[in-house]
Amino acid sequence: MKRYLLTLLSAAFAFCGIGAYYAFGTRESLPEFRLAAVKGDAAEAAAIRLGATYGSGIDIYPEHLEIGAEGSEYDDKASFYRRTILEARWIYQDPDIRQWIRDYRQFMRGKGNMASFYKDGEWLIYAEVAPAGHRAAEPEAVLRVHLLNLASGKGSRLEMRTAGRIAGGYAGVEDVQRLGNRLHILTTQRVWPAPGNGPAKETVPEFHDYVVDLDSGKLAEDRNIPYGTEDGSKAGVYLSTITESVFYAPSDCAILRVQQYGSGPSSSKEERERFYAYDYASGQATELPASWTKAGEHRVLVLRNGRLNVLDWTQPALQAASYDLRSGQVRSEISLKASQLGADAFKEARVQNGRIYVRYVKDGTPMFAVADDGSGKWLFEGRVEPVGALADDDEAMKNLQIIAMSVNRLPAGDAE
Amino acid sequence: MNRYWKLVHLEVGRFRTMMAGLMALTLICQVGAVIWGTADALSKRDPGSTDAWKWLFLPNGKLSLALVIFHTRVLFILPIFLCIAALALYVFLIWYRDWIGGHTFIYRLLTLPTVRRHVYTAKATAIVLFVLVLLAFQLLLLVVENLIFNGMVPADLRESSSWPDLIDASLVLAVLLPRHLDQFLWSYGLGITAVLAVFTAILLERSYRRLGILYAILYLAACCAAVVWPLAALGLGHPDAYLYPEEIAAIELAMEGLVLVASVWLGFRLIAKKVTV
Repeated sequence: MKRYLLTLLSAAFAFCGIGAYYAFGTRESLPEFRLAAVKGDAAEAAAIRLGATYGSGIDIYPEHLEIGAEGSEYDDKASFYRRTILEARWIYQDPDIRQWIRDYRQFMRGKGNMASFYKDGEWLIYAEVAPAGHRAAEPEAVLRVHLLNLASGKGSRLEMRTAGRIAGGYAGVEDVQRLGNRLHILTTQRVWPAPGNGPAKETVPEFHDYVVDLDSGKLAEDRNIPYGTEDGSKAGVYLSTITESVFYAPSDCAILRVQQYGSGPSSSKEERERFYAYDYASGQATELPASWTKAGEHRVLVLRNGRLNVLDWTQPALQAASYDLRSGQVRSEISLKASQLGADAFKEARVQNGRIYVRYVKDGTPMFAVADDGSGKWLFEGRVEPVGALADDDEAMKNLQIIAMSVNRLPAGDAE
Repeated sequence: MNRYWKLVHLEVGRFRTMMAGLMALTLICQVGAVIWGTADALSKRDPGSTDAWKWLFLPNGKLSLALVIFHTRVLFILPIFLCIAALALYVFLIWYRDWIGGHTFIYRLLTLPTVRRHVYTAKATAIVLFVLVLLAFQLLLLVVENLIFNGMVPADLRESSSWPDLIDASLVLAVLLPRHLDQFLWSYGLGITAVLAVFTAILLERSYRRLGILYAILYLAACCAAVVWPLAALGLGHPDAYLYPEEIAAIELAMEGLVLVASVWLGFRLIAKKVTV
């Protein structure tokens, strides 16, 4: 035995050293934080998540953490398997997607575009559009619709070709809606002009609403939704949409956004944009008044339950307006000031769940508040505070840097 | 089994001088870096001087070992890279040194009254042991460096550093000693698989000589493809991929296991039936 002492000691040294490191050394004592109520109903803070960094000691690599009403979670405390494997796809961070994967694992395979989902009490639907290759014999795109009947658990698939020419172009699903037995697939796409229909030097941006008859499984309509630009051309145009804030929720309308990055002297620095309210049933796109969507430095647009919420927290005051797209009426217009909360300025603001969420700093303490988006009445004020074993550490709050605020969506009706 | 342990001990004994040298080099470089870095920072902290010293200290005016390691990280990283390079080279030398020289040691090894696969497993065990010993030594060094730092810096100027801070400060240690045990097991499991694949490639070369070089290259290429394929082709981070990430991870683990088992099986066969002296 004595002869092998060197080997035995080496093995013991290695296993004890590394074992002790993983048993004790990797546990870092970092303070925990939470969002605490100062005034109002604490339930109002349930949807708020603050992204932050905590720079302890060395300050070279601060730890990233997320703070909510229930406490904080450091990114690096999650296992390698969770960070690298389970959270490898950002879409799986969404709680609804995670739940659907648990409930409908086979149906959810290979479905990675959140805008392509539609769900109501009866159906879970996923639609995708695949443009043909540049040299494809058939220039049309292929539309695929995957349907899952939630009551029977039976899945089915429809496949059809579009009439337009998208060969070599781009097409992305922006929204999927079901109106009775008609499924609407709203897409933005860049298509090559058909031969003999203008120079084929550049693709043309288009909005399309593909209407699928769910009874026959055929493409019933291909609506090329018209839009206008300031100079009438399609050059430098970028198309996008604003759809229901709950990405899968039924809705009868969507907002179409047209931005033109011009090169002329009048528009060299300013992006020109137009918004349209698109009604799925009638197929009509109605341009919204420019006064509704006046561009500010910090403007946020959210569509919820057929209402367009426009929030602009460009200082000194926060402006929030709500417009009813069905009636075309202004529902509310409010102005909020940081001074109402005893602060100099808002750091950030969000509109979601029928609420306006703001983040600010008061006397060096990160604070946040919640107001009703219709009346502007402050419902809640809260602050970030350290909790747990290191709650009394004076350095805890000094080392904390709040970076950004996000607001989780609540199921419709929860906050209203 | 007794023969196997004897062979492991033999391999440890043959590399002990080199190991001692690598440890000594690491100790001299890193302890020297801590002493020099700390003394330098303290000497520059002259109230009458300009603010140039401040970048050596934390914003609260204190000094931490992690910060000293960060500022002298080149001296920390160099011996670590040297150790890695030496061990990587020794993966080949552990076999070829037996064939090299006037009195070829391989004659004695292969004619020992024991199954030949013990030679293969003993060499693999020795390499793993060397790696783990150097890692443990590095951890021990951090304890020693912390004691030296505490001895040099007055308590009112000292900011304590946590283990993760110390590991992160040198940059390369964060890779060698990941914070999570599952990452350590995954990384070093892959490392052990790679060593066994190289061992088998060496035995292919020893078995078939010139043609064996081609076999060895093809074998290593096949092993690399098998391990890389699930991650590269199945779309781990791609939201549209058909397989879920945990399924891709299971396939990846299975492929690594397959490479490991194939390497060991082929290595055992080669050393038992093909390697001749």
